[in-house]
Amino acid sequence: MNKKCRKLIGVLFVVVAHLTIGGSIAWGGYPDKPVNAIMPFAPGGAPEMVFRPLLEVVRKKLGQPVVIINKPGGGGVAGSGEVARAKSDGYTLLLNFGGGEHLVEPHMADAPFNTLKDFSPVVMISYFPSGLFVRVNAPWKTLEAFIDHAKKNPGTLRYSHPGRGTINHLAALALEKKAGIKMSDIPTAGGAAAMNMLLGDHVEAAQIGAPVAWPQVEAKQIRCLVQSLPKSSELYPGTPTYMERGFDIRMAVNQGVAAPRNTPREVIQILHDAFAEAFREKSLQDVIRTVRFVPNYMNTEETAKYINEMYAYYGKLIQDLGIPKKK
Amino acid sequence: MDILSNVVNGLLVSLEPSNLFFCFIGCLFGTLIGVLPGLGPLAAIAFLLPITYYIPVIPAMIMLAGIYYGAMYGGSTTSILVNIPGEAASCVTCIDGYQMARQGRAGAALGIAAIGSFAAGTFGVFVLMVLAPPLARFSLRFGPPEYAALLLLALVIIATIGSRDRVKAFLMLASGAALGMIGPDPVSGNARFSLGVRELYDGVGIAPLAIGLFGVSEVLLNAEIILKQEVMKTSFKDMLPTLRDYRASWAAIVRGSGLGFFIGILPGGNPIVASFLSYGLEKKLSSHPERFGQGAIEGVAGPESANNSATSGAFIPLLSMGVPNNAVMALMLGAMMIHGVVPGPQLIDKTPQLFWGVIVSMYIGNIMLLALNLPLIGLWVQLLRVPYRLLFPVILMFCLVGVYAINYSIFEMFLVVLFGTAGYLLRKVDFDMAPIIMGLIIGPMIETAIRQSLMLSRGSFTIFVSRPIALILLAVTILVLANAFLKIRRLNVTSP
Repeated sequence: MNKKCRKLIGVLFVVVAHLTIGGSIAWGGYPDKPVNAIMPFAPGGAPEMVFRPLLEVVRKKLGQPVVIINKPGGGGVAGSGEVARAKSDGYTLLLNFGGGEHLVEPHMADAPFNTLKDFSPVVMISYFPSGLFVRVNAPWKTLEAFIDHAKKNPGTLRYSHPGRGTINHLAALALEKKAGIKMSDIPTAGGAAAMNMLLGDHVEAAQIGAPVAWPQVEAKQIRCLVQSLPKSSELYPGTPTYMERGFDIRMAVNQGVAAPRNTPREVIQILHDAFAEAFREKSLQDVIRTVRFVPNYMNTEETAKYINEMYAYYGKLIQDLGIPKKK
Repeated sequence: MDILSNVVNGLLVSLEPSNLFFCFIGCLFGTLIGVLPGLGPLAAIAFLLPITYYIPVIPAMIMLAGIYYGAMYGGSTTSILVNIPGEAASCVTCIDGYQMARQGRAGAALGIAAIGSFAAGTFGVFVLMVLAPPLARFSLRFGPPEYAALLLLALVIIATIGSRDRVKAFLMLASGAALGMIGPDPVSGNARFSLGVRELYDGVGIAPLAIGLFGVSEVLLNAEIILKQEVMKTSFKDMLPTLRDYRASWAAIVRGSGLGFFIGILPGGNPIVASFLSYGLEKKLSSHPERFGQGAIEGVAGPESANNSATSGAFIPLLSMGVPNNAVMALMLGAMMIHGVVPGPQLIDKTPQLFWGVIVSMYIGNIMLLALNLPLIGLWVQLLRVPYRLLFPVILMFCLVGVYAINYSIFEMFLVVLFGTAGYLLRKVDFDMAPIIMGLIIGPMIETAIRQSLMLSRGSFTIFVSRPIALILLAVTILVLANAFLKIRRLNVTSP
């Protein structure tokens, strides 16, 4: 009896100890095995050019490999949903957090996650704009000239884009609405395909992500009339923003990192510190700039705030544009 | 400008020991993932991408390219020996390759596949050297209407692939196209026919379908009969193709090389379409089309050449324009950009060592692959001596694991089992599996091309005849069709 009692007290003591200082004890060893980072797209997407080198540096800081697992499906929605349902133990992360699949798609279709509730933001690394591109030999040297032409010839200008419901498509729709013009859209299977259509002279313009298009800008094949970041960047020289041209359009494709909701704060902190430290390495920033992404570090709180803000921004924009919900 | 001096320069670059080493690693790794069903070059290149940060850009590109064309070599091995496409582009090789193996000619089939691949790879590299920039420009002229016309021609040519029974072949082609309808609508992006299953939102993958229909059904069929294993035994003498084999297949290799290269340079062109088209073409041109499906060596030589030269062709838009035309090329582009090499029209002038080094390395890689694969044939054939009760479960495991490794999807493993069962039943009633795969690939492509064309023309069908390339392709399609009808009428007249 006495023995049993002592045992019980012993067990209780251990339990209480765990409850009070639980966090630090349970997570002191984190991470003690490889971390899976879900990239919700097929291999080869542009953001991987940032994440693969980044995770190599993060591995050194964390002492454990962070393995990219490509889980494509539904334009990024399927893989994100999987992270939303994953264990909150810090061993499953979501890459590309803050992309169209998290900020735009949930407003237009039933997503298997709630962007604001199902994820614990960790860090923001970079972003890039959508741009409106035309061939160099096109008669329109400026956005104004392009809009002017569109006004005089409604519906005749055709632009290719990487798919309806993407941030790129949304940017073009927003311009149409705000400038009072009408164009025809040609959805394609991705940024490279949309650019090929422009290069091959099949359409007059293309609305695509700047990193995909920039090598052709440098080669003087195409020209960027306008880009969608809130402020101009030296990475896209000579390119005005929509804001500068008087249109309230500020959109970016973000490369953030998130964990499932309710991931312990200590784990988020460890992860954030590793990513932040990796971000500060100059060689990594050089890589990010080389592939024409804009380094854009935000800490955990800033990331959460930014995601909230942008989620509301797209929600309102989609309502304003009158885009119906997908079935 | 001088091609010869460029080639010599490229040779010097690619013969540097470290570059040779990475070329070998790429070829070896490519062969291995080609042999394993499921896992394809795309996944393998993605896995290896982080390694490329630690090595200079030229060996990195040489290695990644090696994986891509190496996989095309390896893919034929599994197709021929066990009737399972090791790589999706080797589906069509199963038809005659496996029949050859059953007749004890596995060695000859493997040999001709390797030699055809080598010839095609060499051809591709040669054209790449001479014609890259102008060809790249031409390929961009291939917009949706041209693509629609080309795919229509392809459908007409390959409609009767591998089947003695036209109706059955068409049924399978249509089923494939119907399966292809599952997934996102190419215009609106809305999921179609996915029955609310989220895993189907992106459609049915090629790998689960091919591996299920060919691989699992093969194992199931063989499990119910006691196979006499000696049919597979080959003596060393039969290992290599005979003079007669060469005579029968050289033309197929030449045609497959040209065709594959052409398909390869097109935006969205892929080696799978190239191999199917080559098979269809060889069957059409053969004076003994009835031999196809019974172990015709041309049916192995043509497609294997085509898929290999398609991989060389795919490099043209990337290296000379900086435009990736499929997912593998997009990864290569990423690998270059991380090293600060800006792909684009000025790549050849700015970094000639990269351009010529990679191209010449592909030639050297092809020689390595030949040297690697010919001696391996003996080893692979030995594999068939493993008792089937051991071999089949292992194959089944590789099929499932291979598919899982592509998208880490349990659902796709279930698809493999489902398609395997369906394939087993269909083969019991004498249906061929190849057309259904063709339907799955070409169906959505042709739908996208036609709908994009009509959006470009704002609904007018004249876009298909007002553009010269599309018009020519359509005219050829009509000629092929007319010829087929004439043949049928003649047959009806002669045979009461």
